[in-house]
Amino acid sequence: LKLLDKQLLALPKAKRKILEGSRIYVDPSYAPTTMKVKLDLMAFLVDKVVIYEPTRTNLIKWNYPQARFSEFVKHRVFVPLYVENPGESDADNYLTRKEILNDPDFFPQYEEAVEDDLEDNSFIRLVRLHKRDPNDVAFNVNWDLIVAQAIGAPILTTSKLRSVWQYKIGKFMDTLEQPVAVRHHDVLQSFLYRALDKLPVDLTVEDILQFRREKRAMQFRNWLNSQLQEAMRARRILKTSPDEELFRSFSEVVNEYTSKTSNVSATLTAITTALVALVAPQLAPIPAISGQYVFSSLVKTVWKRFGPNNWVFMMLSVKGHR
Amino acid sequence: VRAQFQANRVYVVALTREKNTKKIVQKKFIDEESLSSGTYPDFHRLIRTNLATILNLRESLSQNGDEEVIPSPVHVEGGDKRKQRWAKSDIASPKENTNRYVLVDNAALSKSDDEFVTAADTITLWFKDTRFWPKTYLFITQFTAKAGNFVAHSCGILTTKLESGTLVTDPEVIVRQLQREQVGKIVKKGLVYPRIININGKMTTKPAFKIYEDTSRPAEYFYRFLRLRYPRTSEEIVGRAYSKLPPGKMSSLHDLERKLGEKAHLLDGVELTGNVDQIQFSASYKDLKGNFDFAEISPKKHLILIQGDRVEVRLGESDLVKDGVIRFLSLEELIQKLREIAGAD
Repeated sequence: LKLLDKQLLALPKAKRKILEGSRIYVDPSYAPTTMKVKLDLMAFLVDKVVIYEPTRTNLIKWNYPQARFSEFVKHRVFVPLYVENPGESDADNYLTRKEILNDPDFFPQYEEAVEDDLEDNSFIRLVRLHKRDPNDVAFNVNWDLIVAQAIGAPILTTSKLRSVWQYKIGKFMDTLEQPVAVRHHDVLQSFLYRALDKLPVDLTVEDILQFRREKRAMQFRNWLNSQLQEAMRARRILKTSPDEELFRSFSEVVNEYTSKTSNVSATLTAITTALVALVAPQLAPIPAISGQYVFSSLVKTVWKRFGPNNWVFMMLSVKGHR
Repeated sequence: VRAQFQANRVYVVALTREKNTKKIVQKKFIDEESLSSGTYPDFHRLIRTNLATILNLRESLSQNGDEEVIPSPVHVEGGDKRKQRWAKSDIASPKENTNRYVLVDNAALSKSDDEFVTAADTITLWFKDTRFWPKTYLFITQFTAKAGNFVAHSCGILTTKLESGTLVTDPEVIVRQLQREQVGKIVKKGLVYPRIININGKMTTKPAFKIYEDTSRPAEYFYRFLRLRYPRTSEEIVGRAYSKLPPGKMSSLHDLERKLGEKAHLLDGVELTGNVDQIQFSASYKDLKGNFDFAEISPKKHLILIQGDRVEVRLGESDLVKDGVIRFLSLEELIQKLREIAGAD
């Protein structure tokens, strides 16, 4: 699973390495105030955290220290993703949308999807219920869906917009019956919940990198990756019995790092439990031809190029963090 | 006064948005020679028709909280007469603490292509920072309106959306795109600067904007990008006009429209709110007029009948009608229900 997959083959050669392994896509601007903890937690769970537009200004908004972020980028744990080339020197360490999907493939469908949402009164009403601007949400959500699909990554987003995402998925699914896998998503969800509940926060970059190098942590990421891959392919039902042994092993390494933290620095002694509710890794397999919805031809374009993927949504709400 | 119109320079801009990044996709400058030599005949016609139409429109002025609508002081050949019949344009002044109109003034008075392009570029950047459609065309034009010895060196800014297809800057392709989509001759929004006025038969100009929008409710952002004063809404104008009408002289919505006279067309953009006991509703005037019926069974028993194609009753994010929780009465059951209501009184 760590080998090059079809998504990576579509990327420029120089950029393939930065997406190798399990990955997750996140746009922290949906919930900027809680993102620091979430981004760090993701570093424990997946190989690559693809992060939308981590500009200097945005990092300040997310309250994420620039130096810490750069360290994670340097070690290719965080992968910045930009709409346009930011013109920074370390070009091998970030991605642009054009590298993933070129303009002719991307724009017609993106624009059509945005317009479709902005003409959809139910969508607009739903977004306004969340006190958000329908324009902003339509331009953002559709971009996230397309790009996450193209890089074959689950989307990590705020649970506050869960209903909007579910509505979008509902539009895809339309009247089609949900496959069995969708009904079993809670198995992976509850398993991850247990893992996330134990993870320490406030570790240094070096601590986290060291944690990631632990064999047991790597096994856990591989396992999680395989589960996500299966869910995204939706070829068969998600395994319903998470590996208890793996979880016990993962918990051990987590505990070691938790106690290690308390020795590292007085300021890090109090480990706040990051109570993470994995609200819904919404496994929403897209039918091969997704019916009436305007994304259908884009999905076909993307699938032709990258192979079929089904989106997996992780919606996290972090409580009790500092 | 009859006036002649001549477009001198046009700056064509295609804009889009990708996630939170607003982008200028393409820009093209068309000089006077290309316009006059007939290189882009259809595009020239599009620009001319739109700007002439706006110049010819009636003008709506907000004065002392009232709206005054006056005829245009000039009539330019080539405008769209159908549009002129009912549409009007708002006159907006720049806010006191802005000098943005100075740059529009520069665009109007530019003596060289470079001067015009510099001004148009900055205006484009201001526009880019505002809200726009997913695919938007912006046309910034320098033109002159002449009537006898009077010459108004002007700037026209037009914008419209592209429903489908790819943004381009080839003017003739743009025209074909807009025609295919039946956007017609009139773009969605437009303004001209300065305002032409007639004082005792003498034509002159005033630093104000004549603004046209293809909607009954002005879009705030279209005023904001040039820091212009936003006009009062239809609700405010009609509400004020209604409050001045003598009470008790009207017994129908038809009467209301008649009494409002030339302000009646503003009713189309008005949203009305009401309530039955604690139950609140809101509807556009058009919907209220066409789809609502009000009945009084007794002084303490009222009914409102609302007709429509689709019914939704939201509980959180769910629809109780779609879910079958709310059941529709058959016509017979409805009649029976009405009998019960009436009989029980």
